[in-house]
Order: sequence, then C-alpha cells, then structure tokens
Amino acid sequence: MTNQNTGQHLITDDNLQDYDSVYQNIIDMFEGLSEAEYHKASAKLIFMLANHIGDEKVILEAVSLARQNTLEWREDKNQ
Amino acid sequence: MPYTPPRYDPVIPDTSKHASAEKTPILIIGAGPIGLTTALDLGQRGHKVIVVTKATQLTDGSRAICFAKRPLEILDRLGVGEKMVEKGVGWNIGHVFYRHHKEPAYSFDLLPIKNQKMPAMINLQQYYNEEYMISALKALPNVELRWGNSLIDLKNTDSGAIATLSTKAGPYKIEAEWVIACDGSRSETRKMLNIDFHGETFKDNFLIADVKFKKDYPTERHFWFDPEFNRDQSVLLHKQPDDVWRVDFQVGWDIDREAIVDPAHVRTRIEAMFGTDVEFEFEWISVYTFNCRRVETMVSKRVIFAGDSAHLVSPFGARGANTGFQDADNIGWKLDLFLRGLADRRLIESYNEERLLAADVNIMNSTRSTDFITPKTPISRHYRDAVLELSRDLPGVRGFVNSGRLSTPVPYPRSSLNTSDDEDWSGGVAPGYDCIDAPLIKGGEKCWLLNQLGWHFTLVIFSNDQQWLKQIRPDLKRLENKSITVKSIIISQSDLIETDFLLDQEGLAMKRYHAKEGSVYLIRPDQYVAARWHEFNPEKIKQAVRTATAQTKKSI
Repeated sequence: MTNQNTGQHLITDDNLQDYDSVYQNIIDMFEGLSEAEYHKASAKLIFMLANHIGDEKVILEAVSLARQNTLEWREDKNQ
Repeated sequence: MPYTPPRYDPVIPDTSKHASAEKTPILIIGAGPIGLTTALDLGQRGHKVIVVTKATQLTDGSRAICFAKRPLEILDRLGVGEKMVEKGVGWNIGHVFYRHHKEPAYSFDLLPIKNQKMPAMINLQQYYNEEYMISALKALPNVELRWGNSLIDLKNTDSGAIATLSTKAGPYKIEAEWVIACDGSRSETRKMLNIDFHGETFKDNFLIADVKFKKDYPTERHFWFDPEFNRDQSVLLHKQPDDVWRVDFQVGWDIDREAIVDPAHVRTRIEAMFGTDVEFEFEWISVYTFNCRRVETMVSKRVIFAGDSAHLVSPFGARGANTGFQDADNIGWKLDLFLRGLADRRLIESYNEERLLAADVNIMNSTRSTDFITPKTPISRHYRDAVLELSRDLPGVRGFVNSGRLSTPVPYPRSSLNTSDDEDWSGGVAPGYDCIDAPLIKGGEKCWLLNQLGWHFTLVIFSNDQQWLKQIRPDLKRLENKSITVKSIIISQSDLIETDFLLDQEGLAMKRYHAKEGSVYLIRPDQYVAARWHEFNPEKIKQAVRTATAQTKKSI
C-alpha cells in the first residue's frame, strides 16, 4: 500500500521515488495548450489530487502554505 | 600563469616496411580522454594499439573538469586514478541556492555510502588527466601514439577497416581489425561513414570562464538560480586545482557571441560575484550552446564509437566524459576476448546494447536538468520557480530542484549478458549493476575490494568455512585454468589459515553484497555483476561465463 495520504498532517518530507520523472510528466502535460487551457489543466490536476488525498485537513494545510509561501516571496522579490 | 599545453612533434611513421598498408588489430582515432583510456586498457592487456590524432598538443582550457567515482575507479584499474585524486579537488556535497538566500534551497550528498576508495567526484582540468595517461602509455611498447596524423579516408567492411592517414610526409594506410572512433563531438570518422547524429539543441547559451585567483571558498559544487549577480539566469561554480575556478553563467539565447566573451565584460561579471578586491586572471573564456544527441548504433561493422563521437549531453550532471570512460571500460575486455578468439561479434554487439542504453539514460537526465535550468515555456518557468520558492518551507519538494543529476553508472538490469537471480537476494548488487567498493584487509594491510576485481572475470566467494573452501579449491583451480579465466577471491570475516583471503573486518563487504555464508558473485572484467548465487555450483558458473561472453543463448 502506498496510500500514505490519509495521515493527520501534510507530508513535508520526501515522499516520491522519482522526482524527475514526476516533474517531467507534469511539465509535459502543458505541451501545446493555450494559456487558458493550461490554467484549466493545472486546476484539474489540483482537484483530482485533492479528491485522491481525501483529507480536507491536509488539503487546507497545503492550500494555506501555498498561499502564504507565495505572498512571502512577493515581499522578498520586492525588496 | 595560465596553463600552456605541452606540444608534441608530429609522428611520421616509416611506411617503407609495409607493402600496401600497415596492419594493426586496434586503431584508435583521437587522443582525448576516451581514446587514451581505451589505449591504456587494450595496451595493458597486451594488444598492439595505434592511436592517431590530428592534434599536436593537449587540449587547453575549459573542457571536462568533473571526474566521477566510477570513472576514477576505472582509471584506478588502469593505474592513473590515485594520481588524479591526489591532484584533484574532491567533493561529495552540492548546494543549490535561490536568489540572494544564503540557505541552500536544496543540497545533496553524492556519496551516501561512505568508506569507499574513490570520492564521489573530483574536479581536475582535463589536460592533467590526459598528461597522466600519456605518461602511463609510455611504459607500453605495444602502444604507439601518433600526433599530427589526420584521418582522411576510411573504408569500413565486415572483416576490417582501412584508414588513410595524412601526415606532413604524405598519406599512408593502416589496415585495422577494429577501429575505435574516439574523435569527439565533431567526429570525422562519423562524418566519413555518413552516420547520423540526431538530437536536440537547447535554445540557451552558457558563458564559461576558468578564472585563476586565491579565495577561501568551499570546494563543494555551488549552483545558483536567479542570483543577484546573474538575474533571471543561473550560475555554476566549481573549484579546480591550482586556484582555478570554473564559473558557468547562463546568458540566454539572444546574445552577441563576440561581446559576451570579451574579457572586460567577463571581468565585470566575476567582480559582481566575488567583489572588486579579488585579483584574478583568465585561463579560458568561451561560450557554449548545448546539445543532446546520439548515433543510432555505436557499432558499425568494424568501427566502434565511444565517448562524444557517439553521444552528447549538456554538461549539467558531468555526464559527458564520465560516460565516455565507461564506454571504454565496457569495450576493452570485449575486444580483448574477441581478438584472442574467445568470443565473437555478439559480444561486441553487447557493447552497443549496454552503452546505448547508458547514452539514453544520460540524455534523459541531462535533458530533464536542462529543461529545469532553461524552461522552454513561460508556464514551465513558473513551475520551476514555484518549486524553488516552496523548497524553502517544504523539504519534500526539494527533490524536484534539478541543477544537474550528477553522473553515476548506468546499470544494465536487462542486459543479455546477465544471468538472472534464481534465488531470493532482496538486496546486494544485482546482475547488471556495477560493484560497490568496500574496505578489506589483505595480509595485514588495508586494501579495497574494487582493486581486487577487474581485468578478468572474478569469482567473489564469501565464506568463513575453512573446510569447505578446501573442498572447492580444485574447482576454483579448474575455473582459473579455463580459456576464459575466472579468478577467485575469498572474503572472510574471520582469519583463515592456509588460504589467501581478504578480511572483511567491519563486515561492510558482506553487508553491501547481502552475502551469506557460501554466497558467490561472478564479476565481469569491467566490475559489473554477471551472476550471483547463494551456493557454489561450478556448472552454473561456467554457464554464466558463457552467457556473460555472449556465447550461448540465455539459459532459462
């Protein structure tokens, strides 16, 4: 069983076998899509994975980290 | 003073001795690291070798600088590895930085398993590697290195090849049983045989400067994404011996190629990076565009391609020359057995099978790294930056950060030369994988496992049972006396009497090979595992040697 995604918290440590392959597959997903299409494809990917995770608490942790991290970098880059 | 490469007088061979063509079993085209490695290997195996090169001096300046553990192990077998490690700057750790942050976004340890003879990587100028090999070749009267001899024609047939070479004194011919084309990315041999070299060119340029100055700076590999001193681009820094630093600036696709290599311009870049108070001089400045390409087949009738003539990768990952050394290591023993009449063409074809797979794995890794460093589209750039930003807060995404996946040996798990496990091992070194080193003690002296392997097939027997070892001794003798010799070494955790053995005091060899009492590994001459068993069976060993030398169809 690889289903480690129903734990209490967002997994913050390494949890993938082959990062490069996963990265390439995600980037390849956008091949030939228009800007609107790739935003939609990204959203679809997020919704699918959220459903797969199935744990709202974990999803919320990820959502808030994604937003917070992005806002912090906005500040960092304005410096 | 910047390095001045040694010059060599052109060699004018005496052609009067030969009626039509001079004959040699092995002709190597090119005297770069891969040609010289192949010459050292086949030369030390006793074959007559002629190496021709149009050059009359060593390559200067910016070439290969990172020599990975596996090539160092190969060069150690050939007798130049220790010298390289002594001169080189060794490192195991790499740090990747993002923007101005001092804390790395990602760090890696290239040598997770410690206690091996060779470091994960050394940095050393290519010319030192070449110098050491040229001096080692001088001890071999059967190897001739001909500077200033250019290949101008090549006839390739199923039974041999005839090369026409040009010297200052005019052209002459060499008839070779095998030609090994080690003549680099712009291979003349490849062009003469009309062999395609397909692949991808990356729309980016990199400015490479080898700069000489004294500075206390860690010897680890440093890579920056979007640093203040090269906004929106990357920078790679490596330390080389003699206070030479390799700085590699990503500069983008639309550039003025002449203006960018102007030393005054490069000076401002270096000062932005290290400060204006550093005095330095340039050893080399150039600008590169990267390619990932390979030939369709590395064996064409009697011509074998090795190194950059066969495959090209981007330098992130140091997979260029490092792959070439492993090509040389793979073909050396196979040609040796062929020339001694102990194997046929199928064994040479297995070079193509194994090394083309390695080329593909290297190209895949190199392409992925280049796609991360030079994202092809705005969206992939955003994804790349998202990884770098999130890496600060979430260790689990750091694995996506790709500044180059550094060269490690490519395994051949499905090679036709392997004998698959017929027992449960769940660990150790599987057939088709390269051997891992371990510290041992031989006659009271510290030694290394890999130094006990290579050149021949070797049987590694793990046992503490004196009685049993005595029983199998006649079988071991018979295996050693076969036409394809199989030497044996015994690794023991306790002192044995009356038997040559290697003491595995810390039990590391036993652990790394997942061995039990009586386990046996059959190791190929290039230190890859051919087969392994938990019991000793001479018939199975003989069969595995036949399989590993492509003499029979795979037994089921």
